[in-house]
Amino acid sequence: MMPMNKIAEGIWEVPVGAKAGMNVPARILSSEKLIGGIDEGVIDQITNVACLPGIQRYALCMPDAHRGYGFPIGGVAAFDAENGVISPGGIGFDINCGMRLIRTNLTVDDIKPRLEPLILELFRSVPSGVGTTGFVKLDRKEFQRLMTEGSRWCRENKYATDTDIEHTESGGTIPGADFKAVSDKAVSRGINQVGTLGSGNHYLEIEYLPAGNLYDPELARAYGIETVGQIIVAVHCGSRGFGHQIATDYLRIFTQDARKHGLVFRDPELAAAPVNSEDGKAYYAAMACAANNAFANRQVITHRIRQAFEKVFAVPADRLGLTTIYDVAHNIARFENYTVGGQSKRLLVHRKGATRSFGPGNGEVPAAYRQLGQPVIVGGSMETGSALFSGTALAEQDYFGSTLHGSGRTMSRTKAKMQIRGDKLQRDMAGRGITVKTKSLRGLAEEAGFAYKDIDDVSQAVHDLGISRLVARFHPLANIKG
Amino acid sequence: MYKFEISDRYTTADVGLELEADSLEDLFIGGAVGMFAIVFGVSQKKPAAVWKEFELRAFNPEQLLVDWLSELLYLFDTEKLIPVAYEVSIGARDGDISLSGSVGFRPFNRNVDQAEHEVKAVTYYKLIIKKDDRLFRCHVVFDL
Repeated sequence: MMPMNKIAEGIWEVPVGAKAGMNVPARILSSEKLIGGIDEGVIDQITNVACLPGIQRYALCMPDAHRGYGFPIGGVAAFDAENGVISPGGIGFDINCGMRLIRTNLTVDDIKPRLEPLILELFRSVPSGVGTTGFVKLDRKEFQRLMTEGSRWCRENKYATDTDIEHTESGGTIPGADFKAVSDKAVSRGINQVGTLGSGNHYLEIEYLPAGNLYDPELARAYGIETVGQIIVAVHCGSRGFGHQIATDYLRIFTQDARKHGLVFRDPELAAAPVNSEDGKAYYAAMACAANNAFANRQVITHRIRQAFEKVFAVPADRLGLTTIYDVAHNIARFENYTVGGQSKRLLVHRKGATRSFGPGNGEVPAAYRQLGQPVIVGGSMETGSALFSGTALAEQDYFGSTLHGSGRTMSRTKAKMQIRGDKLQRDMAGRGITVKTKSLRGLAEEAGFAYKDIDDVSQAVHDLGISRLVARFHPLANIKG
Repeated sequence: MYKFEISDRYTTADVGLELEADSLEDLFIGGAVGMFAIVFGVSQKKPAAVWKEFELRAFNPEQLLVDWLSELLYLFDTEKLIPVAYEVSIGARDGDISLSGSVGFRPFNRNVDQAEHEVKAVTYYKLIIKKDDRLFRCHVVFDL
């Protein structure tokens, strides 16, 4: 194990020199309760990240960090926009995998009598699982518009409200997207998948606010959470095969061109290119297309959710109060400005399994929330539900405006599957009032709550660190899994 | 001859394959069979309904393996084809390494083929192809 020094409450650091080639320290944000459980693979991976050229201040791990490939999941690294690199491995194959939270005016009492038909309708109208296609039919030209415009395309096509757009990171359109940087293969994989959930840990969940889980009533009210028992809908998915293919395409290019760029990597999955090189610029343009595609995907799913609620409740969605609280990416690279060494610098912040956490006053926070801070949505396991936080100035000042994204796995899929069968888990959860619809019972077993860190521990850690403020914790009622 | 084992040696959220084979060709075929075993569990034995020609070229064997598996994923995602038969050979070409031949596929039937996982992509993480006296070996991690 590499030397890891506790430098303040909740903060540990692996110093430069612990591994040959480290340009900055690796900083692990955690808690006394969680730090002992951190995987050695995470430390190996984050210290590899610390070796990448142009990295600023430190390579960061969030409290939900677990071993990934290349970067750890829960990893954050900021690179100088002039002299740094861009790395597909620092974003992940599922570009702009992210979370959306939708509020409703409904309560548990309103929904329980209609829960079963609602789940069936959602399961039918939001395709999930392997090999599914969405209801949006696009030709290549229209798909090019979608990947360039993201959520704005959805508004033009009546899949989004103005509030949906305002309450999405960067309005659901990442600047710099250029469809010419996207391969035909990526287009072929993505063109039929708009409006699909996918598989693995992706889900659509109906949740409610239990008594005692409202931690900041003022912030909650501003975000549209007002009542104990209030129903919300959480969506977790990304850019589907489109993003996977873009990452695959550019990892190959970056690996092949590494020598041309004079770059050597400790791990081939960390292949990168200078931000300002032709390769780097092309990948950024393609990544932005995938990010926009993912925003559009979650937006089209939101449209289908509204239709499902309207059908089951026989009331227009606006009367049910179905409003997007926020939509935020947790696999992405964004150009942002931060002060480093007393100088304001333009950085390319890579967040792989980490969420933006912008505090009060930041111009990127939607106007309705600007004085309070950006909503941060954290997905728990399917047995624990989601958590809503607020971004902080401290996160911007010290940690490139970043925080956690989920509970973080502690157990491999193979081990989880050996501990419980999917059908038993489904029955156990039903006994606790959580309905699960899935295409894969074995996949369900792998997502059991015990395979994840305790979301309360992780939430407490980030709250205590001050990198986001806990607002509310929701409990699941029904889960649709791919 | 090849052997594969689904493994969590290097992963927490994803899944890997431990592969060994008598030849590089069998290592690649074992990788393909193993990858679709991750997707479907035990796959149904059915004859090929369609054959496709393959011609891939890369600068090293690891890249060729990633290209090969990625191509099969692409065909599954876009044309809903599951590989079931392989007639491929691997050789050196002008300083590169290439795979050529044909692969037989059967169509994916959503009502019959119960998918357990979606493999998003093939990663390079810990991917090194080694050969000892007798066998080729490697570990491939897939993003799920």
